[in-house]
Amino acid sequence: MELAEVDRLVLTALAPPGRRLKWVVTGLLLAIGVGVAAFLYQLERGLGVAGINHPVGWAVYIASFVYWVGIAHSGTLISAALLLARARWRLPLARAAEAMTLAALAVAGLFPLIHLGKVGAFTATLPIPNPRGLWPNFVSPLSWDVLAILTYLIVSALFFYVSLLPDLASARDASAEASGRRGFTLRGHPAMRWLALGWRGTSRQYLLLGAVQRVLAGLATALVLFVSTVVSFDFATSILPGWHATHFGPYFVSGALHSGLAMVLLVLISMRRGLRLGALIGREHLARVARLLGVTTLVMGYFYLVEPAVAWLSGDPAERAILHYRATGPYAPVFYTMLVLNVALPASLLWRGPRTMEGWLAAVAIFVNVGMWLERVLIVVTTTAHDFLPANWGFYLPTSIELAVLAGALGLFVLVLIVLLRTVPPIGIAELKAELVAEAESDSPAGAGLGEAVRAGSMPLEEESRAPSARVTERAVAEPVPGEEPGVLGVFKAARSAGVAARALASARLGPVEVLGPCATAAHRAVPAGPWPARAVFLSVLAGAALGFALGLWIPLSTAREFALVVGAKPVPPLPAYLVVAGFLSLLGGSLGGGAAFLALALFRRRRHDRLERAFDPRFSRDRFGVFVGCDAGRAPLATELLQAAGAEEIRGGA
Amino acid sequence: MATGGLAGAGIEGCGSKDAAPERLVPASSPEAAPGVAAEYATLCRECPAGCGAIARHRDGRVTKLEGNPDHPISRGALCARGQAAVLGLYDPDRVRTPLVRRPGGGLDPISWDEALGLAGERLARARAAGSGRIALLSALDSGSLSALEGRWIQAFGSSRYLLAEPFGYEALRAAMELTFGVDQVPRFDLTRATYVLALGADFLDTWISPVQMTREFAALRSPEPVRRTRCHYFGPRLTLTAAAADQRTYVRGSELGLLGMALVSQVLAKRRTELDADTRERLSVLLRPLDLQRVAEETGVPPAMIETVTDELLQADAPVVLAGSPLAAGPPDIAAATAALLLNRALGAAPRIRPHALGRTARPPALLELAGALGGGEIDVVLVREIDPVFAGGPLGEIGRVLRRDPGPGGGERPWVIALASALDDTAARADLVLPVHTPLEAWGDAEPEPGIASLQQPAMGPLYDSRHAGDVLLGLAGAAGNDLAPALGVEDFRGYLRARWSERHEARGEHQPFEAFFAAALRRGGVFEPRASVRFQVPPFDATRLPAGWDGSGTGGEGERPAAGPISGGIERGSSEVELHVFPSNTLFDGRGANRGWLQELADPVTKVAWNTWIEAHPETAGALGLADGDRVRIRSDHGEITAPLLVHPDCALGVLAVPAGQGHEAYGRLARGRGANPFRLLAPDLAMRPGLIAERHGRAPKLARYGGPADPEGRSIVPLASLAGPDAATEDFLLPLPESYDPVLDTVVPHPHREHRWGMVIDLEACTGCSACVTACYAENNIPVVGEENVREGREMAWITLQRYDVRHETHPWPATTHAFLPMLCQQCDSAPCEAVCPTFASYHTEEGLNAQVYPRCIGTRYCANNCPYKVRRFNWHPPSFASPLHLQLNPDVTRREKGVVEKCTFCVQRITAAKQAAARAARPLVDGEVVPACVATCPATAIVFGDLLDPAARVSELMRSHPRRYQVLGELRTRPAVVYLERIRRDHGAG
Repeated sequence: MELAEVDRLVLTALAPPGRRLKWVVTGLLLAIGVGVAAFLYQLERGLGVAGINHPVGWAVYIASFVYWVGIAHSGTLISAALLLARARWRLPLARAAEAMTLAALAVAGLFPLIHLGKVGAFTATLPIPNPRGLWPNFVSPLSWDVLAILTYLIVSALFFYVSLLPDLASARDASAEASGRRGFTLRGHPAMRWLALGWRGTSRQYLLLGAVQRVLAGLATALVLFVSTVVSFDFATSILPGWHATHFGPYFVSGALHSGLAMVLLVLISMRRGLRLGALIGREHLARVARLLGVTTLVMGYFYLVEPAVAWLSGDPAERAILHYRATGPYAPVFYTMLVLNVALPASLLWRGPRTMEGWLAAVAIFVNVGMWLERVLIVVTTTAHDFLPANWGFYLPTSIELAVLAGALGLFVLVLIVLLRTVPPIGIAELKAELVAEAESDSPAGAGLGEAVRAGSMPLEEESRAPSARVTERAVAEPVPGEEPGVLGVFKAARSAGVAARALASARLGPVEVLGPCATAAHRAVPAGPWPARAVFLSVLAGAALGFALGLWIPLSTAREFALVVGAKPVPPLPAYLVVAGFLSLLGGSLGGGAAFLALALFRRRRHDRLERAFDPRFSRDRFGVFVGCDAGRAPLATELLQAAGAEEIRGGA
Repeated sequence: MATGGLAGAGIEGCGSKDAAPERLVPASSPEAAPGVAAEYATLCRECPAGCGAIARHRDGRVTKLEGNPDHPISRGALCARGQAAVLGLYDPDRVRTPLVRRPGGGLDPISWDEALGLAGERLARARAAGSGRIALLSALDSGSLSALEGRWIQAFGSSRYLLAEPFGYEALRAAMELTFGVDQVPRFDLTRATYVLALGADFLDTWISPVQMTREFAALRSPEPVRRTRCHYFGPRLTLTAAAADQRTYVRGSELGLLGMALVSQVLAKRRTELDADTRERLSVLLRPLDLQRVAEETGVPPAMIETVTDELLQADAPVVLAGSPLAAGPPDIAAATAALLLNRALGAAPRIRPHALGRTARPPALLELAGALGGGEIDVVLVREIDPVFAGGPLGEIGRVLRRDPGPGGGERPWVIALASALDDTAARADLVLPVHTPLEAWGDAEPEPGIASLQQPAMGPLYDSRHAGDVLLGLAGAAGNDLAPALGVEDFRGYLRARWSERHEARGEHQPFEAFFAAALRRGGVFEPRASVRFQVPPFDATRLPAGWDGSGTGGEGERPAAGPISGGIERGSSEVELHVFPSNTLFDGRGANRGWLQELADPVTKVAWNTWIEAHPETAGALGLADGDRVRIRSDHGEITAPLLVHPDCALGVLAVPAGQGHEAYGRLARGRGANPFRLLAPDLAMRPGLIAERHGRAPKLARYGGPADPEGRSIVPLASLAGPDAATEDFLLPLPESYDPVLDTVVPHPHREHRWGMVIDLEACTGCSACVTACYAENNIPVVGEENVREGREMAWITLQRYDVRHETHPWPATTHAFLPMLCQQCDSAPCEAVCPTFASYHTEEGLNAQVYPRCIGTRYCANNCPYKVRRFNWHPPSFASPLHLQLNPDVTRREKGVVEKCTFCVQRITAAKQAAARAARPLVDGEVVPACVATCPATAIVFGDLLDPAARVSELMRSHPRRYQVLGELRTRPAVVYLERIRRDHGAG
């Protein structure tokens, strides 16, 4: 498979929207409009227009918050956790999963605002310096939620963005004829030029990118565990029966992954269908995600057994009453529906047969999403409806206002996802290319370059691939290198040859060598960049984390010292609670530090190496590799010779 | 509110010496300085009980009523209806100007001059047409207004002047005549009683003088030493009285007569030796014991129960038997009341009887006679003052039936009706002329509910609208009719008349001090109260010959000269599918006059927890026999009318009874009352006898009733543990004082924290609490709590900071298993380690240095996490923007923030009162004294069940109770939240134990 073929396949997805998509978007905008109208009505009339009441103060809004945060987790799991685990099959899925994380978090973050009595005053929960000198109460799990969501959103967005840079460059440099279609598209759009931040695909950039990706993936993976755990603290740190339980952290995390994986499945199936990416996202990918879903099904089943067992063994009448209430009370039909949807039906995915049936997978994915949402609602509603004193017991049903807001939120999620996947390459082009190159360089028999990543799909790539573009640009050897940089540039079709040339040039000590290309290859690694750039990223991460940790302790501690407010007879200061704050701020600081160092070192630093990048040619974002050596005219012939020896198809500046 | 405040209130504070001491122009008077509360002693006129009240006055307006601690009836307490009297004043639907009926049918405003001219002309014409062609029907008044009315009607050459009340206690009056030969309504003094037997008398609910009797009854039981006063209740349904009783037996109202007579015959049979021969001779009929087996068959009360009650009555040192339906007056009801009086007589409790002012009201024959005269064209003009016969039932309702006729052009169908009313009630809405009169809080008046308790009612604020005092209206009408009464009386206005009458009282008492000083002191105190001992009711000799024959249950009557009685029991066979109607006064709306007061509509009926509507109560078996189910829309039809209301099935009522609360079903009266619920008065017979023949049929499903809260079954949780007289049933585990000393470094993850100067705490004695809910309404009044309406109550969105939870605790007692219906006043427990505080992200909820769970409203962003995490669920969220329709906003307490939509609010032990008391003490440079800080709920509690104070003061009563009372416990103490509200366990008194 030609590298250009990857561009063609992926970037085709960025073609102008068709009529069907326009209808879908119109429908989504309508749903969002209805949701916004319902929210504005609620804002005007008060939360009484929702079904929430006394004693059920939280219901579908908070349940949806928990649900959408959970959806976000599986995106991170597939993109970041599997990256750390070097699971190659994740490659075609990662971008979509990350986009889903962002869309889900954006929607999740709205619900705490929607459910507030005084929406405009939400800033009181943010650690914004203010004249009162009073920071939020960091003992409250709600304050932790704010930090958790903000941290998660920022880290995910950063991770998404840095991974996107080479692909944005691909989109920027893609030629119009590669798609053969015109109209509204961001491919080659100035916005891409701006967004790509001048990505050139130098060895240094790939080195830094690899470092920052690993760091952010590590932090994001930690956040998968922390965020839903902290969200579960909204319930677990309360004293209410059915909420106050030690298993809630892992219970919420696994529930999050359960629903999230199902949502990933849905997104992938939609991409296969809607974006015609069946060539890159195969049935085998779906089956692998489905297998993970089978695992989370077992975990959820385990928790559904643990929860009543723990409640029963506690001997506490209120705990037992909640159990009884869920199983026999007015919400019992919902409870059993939830069990069937979350465990009984997805358990089928433990067998290979159902895992390969795309239609069944789509159905199960919808079942699990509905089931997990119902589970969140049940957790939130049953406890408050049926707590300690029978005279306080109540009942809750959602109103049309709440349902409209929920529909709007769902619409927003889908719309954000569509916008993201239709404006940026929906599959990691550079990573896929790197995989193809690595495969070609190894002794794999599939010389045509069917990478494992693509092979994982049940559908062979060739089926859909057309003959690669035969157009080869021949240029005169004497043509100077763009950018008037003295030196010689060799253009290679094969990364392996580029590597040979780079190593030869480097050992000849003719001058600084730079490798340019659409993906990280061995050729890039052949040029010694020294340990410093990667180390700078890690040091910056550490510095950011330390600063975040310090800030995370100082802010609450200063509040505690200044006001010495007693809440819930907690100690002043309540250090364990503040460690949560410090933890999130250090994760945030670390991510921002790493991201900042990466951007500064990879893109904005002006040094000689950067000038070398001017040898850049748009082909290097597509399917060609450039090896440039900065040398005066005297050494140029030798450089030309070495490049020719390595098999350069085009040499410039050699004179 | 301290007595000190009272002394400074009212009159004395007037700056200028030459101003008449009683002049009351609050808006400009010195004591109405901005921001400073003044207090005026006045009188509550919400029911005939005549409680003394203190009006709290701020910036020219009354904001709150309290009980008058000096007043012998209320002794500082006030019931929920009394608390809501200010809403009568600020009722948005008050009549603001005189109204006249235009030919087309509607009411048009006119000026007073025109109105008086118009009425004067009519009156003069009627006077000229002959004597007795003018009638005056008034609400009960036992003071100067009534006297003036008497003079007024005389001046118009008529004697048709009747005082009336919808609840006339006719059965009791008939019984008093039968037994003692006097026409009076007896008030029973419960002081030092050791056994109370109630035969359907709901003396803790609305019966005659509920605040007074609640206080007396609670004093028999609480707090220490617990006196062994048992109470047994027979009646058709669970009422507050039934809930407070140690044992209750549900029997139909029509069975109470037979049951009472059975008890009489049992008691007389066993106490025969103590009777002199003469009495024995007279009582020969009743001395023959009734066949208990037959009584059991007819009433369902086992013979052993009757014998036990008999024994308990005989063994008690000071038993009292209470009976007498406020409404039903058929032969069984009269028999029951007679039996009670006979028992009191035989058991030596007759001296406890005091004549009550209710005895001044007209009895059914007089009312029916007036109705006949009105309908028969004998009367040209009728004045109706502050009573609503169109809404009422029975004999009063017969007058209403005439008044509700459409005023035709002929005029012969009904007389010309002049309504003197403050609100456009059902009668006023149909009147030809409506003259707006002051509400009691704007008006002068006086009353003498019991002999020796002469109470004064002074206006607590200037009139809100262009209304006039009813007395002045009468004087004005007389003048306009050319019958100038004021000069004849030698007074200028009603106030002058009242002063003249009080100056007579002054002379009669032979006081040494001059009248002005006497009157000023009386105003300040709320009246002139004779020592209790000096006013003794002389029990008239008892004459058994007046008793009708046949009340031995034999069914035979007409023996010799004795009048024949009706059947002693209701005539409905037990077990038949026929049902009996039981209309009872609403605990919240009373006879319906509370129906346009938001606080009362929103206040749950303490037993059924229903608000905002009428319900029909039935036992599951009764409902089953009628083919009805809970929540059905049921139409009840009697010979006299029909109503439709939702059915509420619950086990705590007698078989074969459909019980309906009065008070709803107004056709007019205001935005909250109009068209709401059903009016069971429509079903009553003119003679108030309950007869068989009631038809109840299902008409689909009714909309869900607005009911508070969940089930009363505690489901095995020890929410209201019981104690026996020997002590608590179980050791009070998990008792943790809300003080640093209770923190355990091993068991607790929370840490002690010091309190500065005070740590406020509260002790509530569940043995004393009757569930009357006065505290709830007092809290609404004090803390600007908005009324949310029926729909929101149904959704669970009520805003009450204190509610009455009810739990039914079953326990095995010998020989009958019993259920204790315990009321649990639930308010913020001001936990020392409060779950609500830690979860608030903005510090809106935090712990003050005095131990309060404070709520900073501007900081609250409305996450509702605190409300969720509160195990007591006492935090309230503002689901909608709170609304106070003008002029209700004038009632708002300026010391308390008005909350906005979207924030959580809650009880803070009336922190504004704590602050005020602390400031007062600081100004006087003295420490706070125990009892100086009185939250609104504590102040109004008729049972004095709540004690409040500073736990850091070891001498404070609350400290003493909380640290050492054997019955102390904390609700959900096992959660280690350290509530600062400690409850004293309810006591179960088993048979034979006391």
